[in-house]
Amino acid sequence: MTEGEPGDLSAELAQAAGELLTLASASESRAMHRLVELAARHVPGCSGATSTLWHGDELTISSASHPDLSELAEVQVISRRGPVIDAIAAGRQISCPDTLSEARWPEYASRALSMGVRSSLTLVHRSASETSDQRALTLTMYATRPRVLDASRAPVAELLIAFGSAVMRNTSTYDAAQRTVRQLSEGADSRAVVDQAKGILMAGLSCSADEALRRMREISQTRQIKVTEVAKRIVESHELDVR
Amino acid sequence: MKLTASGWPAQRVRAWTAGMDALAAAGEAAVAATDEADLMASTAAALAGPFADWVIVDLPSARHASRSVAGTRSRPDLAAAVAELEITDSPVTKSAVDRCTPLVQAEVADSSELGVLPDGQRVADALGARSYAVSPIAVSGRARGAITIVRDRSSPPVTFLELNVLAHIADLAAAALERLP
Repeated sequence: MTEGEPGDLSAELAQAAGELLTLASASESRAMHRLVELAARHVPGCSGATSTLWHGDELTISSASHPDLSELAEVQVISRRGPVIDAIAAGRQISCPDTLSEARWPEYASRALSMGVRSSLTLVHRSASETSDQRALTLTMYATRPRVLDASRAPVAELLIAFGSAVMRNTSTYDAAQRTVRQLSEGADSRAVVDQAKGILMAGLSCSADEALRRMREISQTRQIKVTEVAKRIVESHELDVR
Repeated sequence: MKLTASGWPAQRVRAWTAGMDALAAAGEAAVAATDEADLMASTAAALAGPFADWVIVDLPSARHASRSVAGTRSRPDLAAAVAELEITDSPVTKSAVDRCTPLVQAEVADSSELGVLPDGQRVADALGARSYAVSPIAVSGRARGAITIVRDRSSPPVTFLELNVLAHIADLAAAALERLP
């Protein structure tokens, strides 16, 4: 049972990747949570992990395999320096071999030490979103011992973050599709209410469909409310009358 | 960097003190152990207390039982049932041992992760587990066993700092293994 036997790793990685891909329709935060769980469970040397999603310079979502570790993402945002900030700026992995002797990011190093983190490795995956702003997904892995997480650990984690990034793109597309469906559905509901109101007016006023619609538009303009809202009120008051 | 007395909240200081006590007790157990079975039992007993509500020490061997379990609650029947399981029955212990990497879970997400008893009850449920941590006992880069600590729902979750302490405790057990026959 030595660490990181290649056969075991590829089997575990295949399973981990498969698990990530099943989240194609999940929310971005759920996919990121699964990503950090998988890293903490499958990458040799990794006892915990955090992931952050950035749109341009703005951190939009962060996730941690352990609540203590979420502070490490926060301290970097506040101090504006740390391995995640550097990884995004440089577009490459950033290693912190020993938090005890780390001088580049004092705020990060002291917070990490206070929670028992002795080394970390941060990976970044950048992509352009549909709205053309730069998206960056980071994965930081933490160890309880110095010099545990070096470049040799990166390939497994690189694959995980690549899968994670692909899933994030899918979830983003899925979310956009969901919004379109919701808007279309709301549009269909609106049309149904307007048609119902037209019918009520046609019966009550003995007028044509066009005339009924014209009257609803008049009310809409006079009272400065949407035609759909006028239609809703007509339907509601008609229902009260019927009762 | 100065560490002031008020730098850590009381709960953290208490947890750190309990961790240091556990480290000292595990050190004594490691020094006094006469064989592997004794090391397993004495380490489990030494760690049960403020540091852990339940302790599971795995040391697979053909010569003795491969697991020792101790708890702060007097439940010898439950301890005996959990002791019947092996590393391969517990997905989290297996993950820690296979990767030779400590791991911690602040909140139990899947109660089958610590294994399932023969009667179908999940170990995490039976122990009332809220959180847990596992550290491999590694000798020359090779995992020979593992120490698992479990906190129940009346205790605070295991912190990442406590995982670090547990990893040091596992190193003491590993050092003892190297000298034992």
